[in-house]
Amino acid sequence: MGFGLWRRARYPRLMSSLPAIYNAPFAHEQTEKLLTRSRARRVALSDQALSELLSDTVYQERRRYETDRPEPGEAERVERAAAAIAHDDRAAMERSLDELIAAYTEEIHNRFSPRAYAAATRVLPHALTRLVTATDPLRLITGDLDPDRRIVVQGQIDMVKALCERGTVILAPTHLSNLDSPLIGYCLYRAGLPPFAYGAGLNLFTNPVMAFWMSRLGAYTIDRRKNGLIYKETLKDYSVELFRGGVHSLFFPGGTRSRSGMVEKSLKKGLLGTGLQAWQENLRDGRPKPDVFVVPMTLSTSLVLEAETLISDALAAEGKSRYIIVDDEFSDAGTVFSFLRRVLNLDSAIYATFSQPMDVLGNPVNAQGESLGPDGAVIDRRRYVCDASGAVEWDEQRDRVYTERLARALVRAFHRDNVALPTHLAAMAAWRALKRRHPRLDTWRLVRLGRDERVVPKASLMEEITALRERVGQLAVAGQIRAALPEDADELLQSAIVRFDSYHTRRTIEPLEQDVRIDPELALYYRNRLVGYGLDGDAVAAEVSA
Amino acid sequence: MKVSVLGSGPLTAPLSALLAVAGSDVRSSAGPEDAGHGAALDHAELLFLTLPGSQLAASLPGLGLRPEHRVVVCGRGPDEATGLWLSELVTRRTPCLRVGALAGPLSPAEVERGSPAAAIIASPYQDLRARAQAALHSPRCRVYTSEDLRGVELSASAARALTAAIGMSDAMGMGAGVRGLLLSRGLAELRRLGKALGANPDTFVGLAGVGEVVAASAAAEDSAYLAGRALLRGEADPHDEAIAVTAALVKLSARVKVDLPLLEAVHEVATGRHTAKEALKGLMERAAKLGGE
Repeated sequence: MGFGLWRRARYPRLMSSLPAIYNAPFAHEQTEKLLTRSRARRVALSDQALSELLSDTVYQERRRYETDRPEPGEAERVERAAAAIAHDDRAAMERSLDELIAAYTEEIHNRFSPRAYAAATRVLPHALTRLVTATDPLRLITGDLDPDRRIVVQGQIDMVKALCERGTVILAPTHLSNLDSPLIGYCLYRAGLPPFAYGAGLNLFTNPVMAFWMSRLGAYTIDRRKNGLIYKETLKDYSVELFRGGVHSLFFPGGTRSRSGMVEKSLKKGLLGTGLQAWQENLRDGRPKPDVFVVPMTLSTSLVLEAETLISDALAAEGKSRYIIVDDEFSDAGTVFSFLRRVLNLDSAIYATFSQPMDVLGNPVNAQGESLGPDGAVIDRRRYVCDASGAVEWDEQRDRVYTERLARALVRAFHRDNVALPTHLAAMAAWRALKRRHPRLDTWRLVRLGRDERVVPKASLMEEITALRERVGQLAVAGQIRAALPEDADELLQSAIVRFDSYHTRRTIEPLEQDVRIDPELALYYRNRLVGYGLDGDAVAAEVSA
Repeated sequence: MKVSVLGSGPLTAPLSALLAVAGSDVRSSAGPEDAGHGAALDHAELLFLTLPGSQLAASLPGLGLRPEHRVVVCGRGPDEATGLWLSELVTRRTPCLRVGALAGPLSPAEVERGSPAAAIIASPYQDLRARAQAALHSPRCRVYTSEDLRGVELSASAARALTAAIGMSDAMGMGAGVRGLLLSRGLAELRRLGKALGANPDTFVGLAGVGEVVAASAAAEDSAYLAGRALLRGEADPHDEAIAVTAALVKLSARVKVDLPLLEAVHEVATGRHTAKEALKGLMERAAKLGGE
């Protein structure tokens, strides 16, 4: 079927299933709702507190302008706020606050393009399939076009589908690469799930080709350079309104890509807590579908596009200052497509696992959306936030503790549904073999080893692979991790080398006659995916042992 | 404040008395078999669990706790079989999330005599801390609060172990100097363990730590102190609270790789691997260390 015909056939049906947020009037309504929220909060603020709130934004924004050129009108807004503070004029301060919130809402929201969104979610799978086939025209003839062999979408898909009908779903994935968002978009499509809105960092738009897609994929914008409290509150309010509007959404609870390659252990609680807020407001208002569910999703990939930059950044002393990297592999369109083409030619290169869905407090839920207690019995979750009469008892401090619990439940799910792949295990074995050869060196010295010092006996590497393979197998049986590994150690190593060499220009594990040469940085990066399980002398993450 | 006291531990009667003195509307239940158990569950906005720590894991599933309950555990952990703190047992084995712990020098005998008492309520939930304080605070009992639940649970448990060590040393006829040594070195161990577990070191010098040890080791009838004295006679009861928490803390310290020579010595005497004299000798012959504590 040609693309034009397909679009005519499918587009009208798809549009009718889109949530209200994709309709143009929503942007204006959204601004009004966010202003109403802010005005309700500021009633309780003294002049001094209001002044401090604005001052924080003025300070943070002025600081940002030292390195980032402001958008037209941005600096002027901030200076008007500064003048209102200087004159101690409450009315002017409130006007400034409104102005800032309206501008932020516009920026956050305006990436939505309903028509393009509908088209893009349908086009992307075709684009990926074409990428797969582009390197091997034979596949066009043999009909071997199935991306399912490259991207394994697994887990609680049916339950997530059911929950999407019963309430609002927040998808909370692990985050390794800027390619994760389109990948997840594809996984949602393959799983037959409805569209999800998502918060995309502005830095994702540095790659012109990817920017074309990103801006059309239902993304709302998160500018991580904006550190002011007003921006953060606006973003949280926006998220609450999304959930209240029944918009299924995804955001990365880790906040940014895992620099080290490790599975996330520490999550950002701000946005995560907005699901709990939306649920309580829905209960208060007696909405027919008040529930909000959280679905952890673990992405496990054989290769990571930005591996070399990310691990260098994690190791660099100035790592923190480069919180937002704009000059990595993702910013080069050619590298992105070369990577995709190569990765998508590898069988089982990517695993996307939908974990056990939970409520906004971290309790597991069943397909009916009911929360389950530790003994598996259905519990009335409203009683965590409502009094005996059913009225919501508002308590921000309690909600912060509840959200911390949800975060721990997510981290536990990430670790349990992480899939150990040949590249991860071979990298950990290589790293251990390097440590065996240089037992006195710490991480920093190991990554700076000279070319000849990186050589280890192949027998030593194989020994490590065999031992690790067995231990990962035991962990998998205990349900602490998933594994997709060949039984045979030689096969496992070969599989890892083929995958590493298919993309990285530096050879992660280079076979020599009796030895192998190891790239310590890349070995460390891919090895880190298996940290937290006690496999390499590392502490077992509390959430894993729980 | 409507509160219920569930369980039949040594703290049940004195706690119920102090709650009543504070003006709380108190109901009690010894357990699910108690005719008033259901009413006690329905009545309370706050539940105090006075079951001994060693019985809590087995008892929790049958107690019928529900999401709306705010629970304060009064026993001492960790649970030896699972290594979980008692508050963790509640959140892992029941639907209750809002949980806290009660600790401090609440001696049953002294409460019965009408002496002033003090306690600390720890919970990450401000609402629970405020309710528990309102329920228990009175001119008879000062109640402090802390958000350091882990620190308070750890301090209160270690206080039992240190009190047993002091009881053993007293039975051996050691002087006040050894008491000082045991208390200060015990606190140093506690700080190390607490640091590894993410607890606030300041908590150990509060009511749940120093407060409990000083009070318990001066009270001849305290169960941990008596358990320590019994160690010298080789009559350790592994089910005794102080002996059980010492074993659990030693196990926990091994898991987080923290050295606890004093508590390990008490544990070795309790398990019959050393006599009290051998244990003391071992402690005194440890290599000297340069620097502070």
